[in-house]
Amino acid sequence: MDRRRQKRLIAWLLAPSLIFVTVMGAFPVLSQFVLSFTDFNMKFADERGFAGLSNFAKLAGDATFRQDLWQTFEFTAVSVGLELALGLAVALLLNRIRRGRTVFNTAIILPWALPTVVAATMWSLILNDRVGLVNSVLGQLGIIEDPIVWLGPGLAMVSCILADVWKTVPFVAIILLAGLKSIPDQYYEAAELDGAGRWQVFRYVTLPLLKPFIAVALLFRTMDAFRVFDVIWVLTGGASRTETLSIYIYKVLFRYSDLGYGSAMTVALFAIVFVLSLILIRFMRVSQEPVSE
Amino acid sequence: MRTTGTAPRLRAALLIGVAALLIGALGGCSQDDGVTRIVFAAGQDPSGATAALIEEYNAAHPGIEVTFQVMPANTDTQHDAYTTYLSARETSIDIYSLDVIWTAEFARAQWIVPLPDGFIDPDAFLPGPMESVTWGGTRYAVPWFTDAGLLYYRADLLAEAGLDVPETWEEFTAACDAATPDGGMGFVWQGARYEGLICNFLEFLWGHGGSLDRDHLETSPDEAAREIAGTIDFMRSLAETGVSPKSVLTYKEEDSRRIYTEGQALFLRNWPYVWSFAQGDGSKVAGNAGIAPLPHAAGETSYSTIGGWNIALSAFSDHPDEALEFIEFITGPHSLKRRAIDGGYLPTRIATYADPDVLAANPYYASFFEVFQNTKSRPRSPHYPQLSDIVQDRVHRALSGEIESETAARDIVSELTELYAR
Repeated sequence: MDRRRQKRLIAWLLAPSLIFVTVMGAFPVLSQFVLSFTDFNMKFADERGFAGLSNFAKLAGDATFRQDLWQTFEFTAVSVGLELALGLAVALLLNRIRRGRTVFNTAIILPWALPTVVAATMWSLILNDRVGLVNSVLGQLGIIEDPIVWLGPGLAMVSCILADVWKTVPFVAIILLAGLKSIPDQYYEAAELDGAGRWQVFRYVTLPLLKPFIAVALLFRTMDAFRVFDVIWVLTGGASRTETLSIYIYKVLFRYSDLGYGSAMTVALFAIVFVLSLILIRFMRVSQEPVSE
Repeated sequence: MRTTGTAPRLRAALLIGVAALLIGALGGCSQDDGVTRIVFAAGQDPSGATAALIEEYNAAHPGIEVTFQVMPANTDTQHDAYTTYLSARETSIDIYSLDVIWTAEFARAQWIVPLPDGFIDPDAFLPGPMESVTWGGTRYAVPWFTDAGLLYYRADLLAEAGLDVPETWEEFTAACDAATPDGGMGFVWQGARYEGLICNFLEFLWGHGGSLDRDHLETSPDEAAREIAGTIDFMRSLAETGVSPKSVLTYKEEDSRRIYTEGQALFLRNWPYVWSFAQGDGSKVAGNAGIAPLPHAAGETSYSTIGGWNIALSAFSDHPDEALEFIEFITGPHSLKRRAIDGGYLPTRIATYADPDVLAANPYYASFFEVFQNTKSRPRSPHYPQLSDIVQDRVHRALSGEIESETAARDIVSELTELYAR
């Protein structure tokens, strides 16, 4: 009797969160899936109908989608790569600091604490070709004669990546710093006794033990970078080969009110991010296996 | 879990909680005090002229209370907010102010309703704005204020070089060679990939005898593509020959305006709002700024892209009669006059341009009025946002050298033809 009561109570207690997760999580995903098989446009709501696979056929032939997908990969690969490298360097530096650690830690986290839109707006001013800080410094040093159009054709993607790297290196650094702190000193002492050089210590002690943390940072950053919207929206609006899938999807869903096609793109994005994270999670599992040798 | 009764008590607490939430959600329904509440959504009016007019209206109509719902200043954001409200059949907003390019879209979606017969006198308004409120032969909105692309020039620099204000592009580029200020720029315009680019592009295209009209694209696609490619090549040559800076491809209105009012440019293409900046404090061109119609190719005519806003009645309004009454007031001669004098909004009524008070406050309106005779609308389509994005994207890419101008032109013709037919 008591057991049954207890079970009922558990069910009651779980119900709100289950309902919440279903309504807020599963329902939108499922309805997106259903919508992707319709030609529902919010503007012409009376004319909606079943569209079969036509949205996906259109997607396969959509040159803008292909180009934006490529640009999204490009943005993700370069920015996440740089963030990991710089984040690791910063973490190693912070780990060696003995005095004033709090000050440094606070200073380094600052970019991450800024809302992305604010950071991006700041960068759009810094990179402005006429009044921006970068061009005026370069000009005064005599390095450049004509102002560089940072946000124009050619350099726009570089500038977007720069702004994103500046903002998210701290995030990676903090995760990796936590990893470094978790490596027991004995390992280093043992390595030193064995006569390992600095590089060898890093290569055979630090890096393998840090791998799970790198994997976590990689997973988070890749998934975030792949869905990037705000930095690029503020800096270029997607012009000059910087448009990403999220920006294209925003346009189709909200500017064109085309729920059918927009949902098909969302489903595709969902599938890509899903596969991508599966690969990364696999990599994480491999890296969590005990280091042999 | 030994104490019996915990579960029922908890369950009761949960139920009460849920009930409280539901009641909270249902709260805030209508008050019934005999006052009809009308909500008017429009972009911000920093001058306060609109708010003052609404106050005046409310004071004269005790049974009606109009509230001003201020919308985001960014036009695209405003568009996306409106489409979200209206596709959910939002009833709380009765009257919308709409950009001239939205009429077809909102009418086709049946979000706004046709004006009653005889509601406005079409001859009382400027022809451009009047065309913009019409879709499929039906009038859906009342013109509220207008805008059109203008050429701003530096009268002092042209006079120094002994030149007249150029009318053709040949004269124009020659003037740039002769009179561009030292270290400055010849001509600045709006080349960033956004709505402003299609406005600029169309003026270049019309001035070269081209068009994006449906008939033209359908009947002579090859000719249309040639005109588009030629126009893009011309725009590209402006940056390549140094008439315009390379960074023009990142400029929006304010970027280009600042360069001009800082005295760094000989010519500027922009909207009428720049005039008061050019004459105001902090302007280095006060007294030396002039306005003229935009240049055109030899043998062609100059046209300006029309901008501005109209006012329409929501199809989901609970009080259409009262709302229409207010629309009549806010687009009437008195309101347009007040907004012209207090806020600098260019009136859509022809008679307002002859009003001595308006001319006393804005003496330059006489010359604007001239430009407003030669305006054209951007393409009209219920799929305007897509259409505009296609043109912006292809033109911007071709100007950046990412694709050939011929490719851009062919894409624009084929994709627009498909959109028009949809």
